[in-house]
Amino acid sequence: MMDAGHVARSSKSLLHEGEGVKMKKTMLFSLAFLMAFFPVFANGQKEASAPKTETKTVIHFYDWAPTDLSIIEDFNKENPDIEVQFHSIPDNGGEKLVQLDILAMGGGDIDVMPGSDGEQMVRMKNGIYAPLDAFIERDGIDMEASFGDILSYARYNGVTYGYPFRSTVEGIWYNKDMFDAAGIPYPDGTWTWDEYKEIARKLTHGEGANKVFGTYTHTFNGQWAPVGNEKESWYGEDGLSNINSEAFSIQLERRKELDTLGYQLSFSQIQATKATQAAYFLGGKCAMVQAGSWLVQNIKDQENYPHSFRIGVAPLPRFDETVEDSNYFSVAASILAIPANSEHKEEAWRFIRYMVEQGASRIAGSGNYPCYRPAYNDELIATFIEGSGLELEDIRPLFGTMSSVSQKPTGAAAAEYQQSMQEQTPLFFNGEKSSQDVLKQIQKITDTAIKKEQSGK
Amino acid sequence: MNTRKLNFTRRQRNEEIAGYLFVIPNLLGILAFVALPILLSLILGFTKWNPMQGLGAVKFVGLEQFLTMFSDERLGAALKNNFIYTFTYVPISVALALLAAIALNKHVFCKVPLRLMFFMPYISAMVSVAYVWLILLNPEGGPVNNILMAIGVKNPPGWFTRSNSSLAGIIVVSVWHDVGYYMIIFLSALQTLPRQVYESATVDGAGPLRTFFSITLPLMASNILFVAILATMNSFKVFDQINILTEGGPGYSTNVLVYCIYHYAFKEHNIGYASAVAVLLFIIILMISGIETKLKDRFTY
Repeated sequence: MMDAGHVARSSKSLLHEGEGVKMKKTMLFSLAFLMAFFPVFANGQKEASAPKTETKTVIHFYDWAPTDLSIIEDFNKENPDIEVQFHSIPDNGGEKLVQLDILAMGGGDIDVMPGSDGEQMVRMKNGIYAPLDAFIERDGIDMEASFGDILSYARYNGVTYGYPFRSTVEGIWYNKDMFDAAGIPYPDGTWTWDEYKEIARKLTHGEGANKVFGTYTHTFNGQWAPVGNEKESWYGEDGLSNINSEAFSIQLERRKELDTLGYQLSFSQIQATKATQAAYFLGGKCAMVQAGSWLVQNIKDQENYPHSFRIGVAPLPRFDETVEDSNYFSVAASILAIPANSEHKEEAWRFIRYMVEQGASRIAGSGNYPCYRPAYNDELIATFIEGSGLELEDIRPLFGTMSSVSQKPTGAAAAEYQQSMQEQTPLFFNGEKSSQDVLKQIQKITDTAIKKEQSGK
Repeated sequence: MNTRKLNFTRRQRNEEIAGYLFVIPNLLGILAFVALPILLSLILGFTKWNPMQGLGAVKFVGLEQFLTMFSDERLGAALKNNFIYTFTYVPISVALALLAAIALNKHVFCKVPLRLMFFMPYISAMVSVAYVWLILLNPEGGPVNNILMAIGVKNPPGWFTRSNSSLAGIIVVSVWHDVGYYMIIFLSALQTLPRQVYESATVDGAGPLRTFFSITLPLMASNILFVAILATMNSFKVFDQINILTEGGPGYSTNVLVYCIYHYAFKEHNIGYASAVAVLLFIIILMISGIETKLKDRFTY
């Protein structure tokens, strides 16, 4: 057995010899550690130089809707100097646009970005998009003939920032089988709000888990307003907000009435259960639904929304007997825009034109409503409803001349107008504020912003 | 000290260098991804900037962004909500965590599974937790309100649908999520407390309440304050549950500073103003942590 002294001595000698070894080991360890980081840098370099080694300009296109990729392949074939890369992002409400903003603001690779639901207005105001007027003039495009009224969704302060891409044309979709069972004739555009309410009453039945509501209006910003927009415009003659007018007041109250009378799932319940128009209507829980043309996508999707009843679509009800037109639909348009800091604006513009003009029938094929009017014909409509079980005659009104109301305000201070509506209306629906207070507050916030714009901030 | 100079051999210096080399990669990471962004944020609070126009578009405007804050309703509501939230969340979660830790410290039936159950919310993703609580706190037909009505509460709160109860709902979710973590910290501290003191207290005839207030609390004082500081920091960082459950609403009732920063930066694309709010948040947290640290020095051994 070794004694302590012996151990101490032998370890001391080891220490002396081991000194050099230990030092070498430490240095080797540190070197190895640092070298572990080099692949990280090398990788980064490789990715950055990829586009340069090829002669094509790479355009990055982001979208959330199901896209027929053949349009991208065709474009790439016809334009050998450009390669469009498609990136799909999830459709999760307002956040999808914020995600694209962050990518663009951070200088990431994005060249074609869609803007939708009126939310493109705030981005136009804040300089996220590049102006397109120079391109439009150079190419000699007649915007009015190609797109009509929806151009208000592509312009801000007189400058065009986007090329209209997809529209949402919103009407009342209804379950034909439920109408037949209750002996109610199918609606046409001549129905007034009171008649609509009465039909909703007749079609509401059942209790608890089996309850079927007469109708469904979602909690999206401004869903309550379009019928009011038939009588009053979003802006008064003085250019200020007109939201506190009689028609909008009445319409806001009417929307709440549907909740209190129990003809539809209430505002707070929709929020609490995160209900959606497609799931509710196609799941047979309501007889009618106020929804846009995008519903066709879900109607075609039997896998996620299995259903077997017949569906029709009708124009929005008239505000009252004094409204003469009888085919009102509420319209909003999505645009394709180019981020202001994109380095390939020319190539992006070529792709955008191709996508909107040549791609119209393929946009329709995936269940979306293309904005490009020159492409409308029966064949396009047939492609639009293919596989959905809808009938051509029912859908034709969506593509014909219609009286349109706007889903959202798109003029001066549109961003503040929409934002204040978004934040204030829930306070009316949960009973905390009266409709007067809410509309007054929206008007106050919007008018402050309009005046600021007019005086040139 | 003399010994330092004597021990300053080449070997030790090399070990020091090696130590630094090991730390440098992590340090570089922290500098690049934490320190630099914080510094830039603080600077951006004094600018107006549209990031789409590149770094050259940074315009210095001095205190203009801070002056705008005074007339901002949204920010005022956020400040108020933050303070209400902090002064409710911190005492409740610290108290609950302490009680849970004391309860689970001794020999209790199913001690280990219980501890696990308390801690599991903390390791669950806040997103899923939020969705579950959305259903639980559904004012019409949700389990919580059904139970409240069953025990005789006439008008159960509207939780996330009403302005006066939405913040309470958020606090419920946050407390439920974080208590486990504070409990674990208290548990480990409790286990280091000297047993002799407790034994002599029992011999002297002290009841459980007396033991708690006269022995446990003073001995745990530094830990309690440490957890309180931790909880305060966490309470100012609250964002996930608000973004999912209420998005700052109804109205401005669940708006908090971090949500304001998110809103101004990514919904109004106003980077300068968002950074100014971030500076404000920084100052507030600094002040509160400073106060709590002073308290810690004053009240503990």
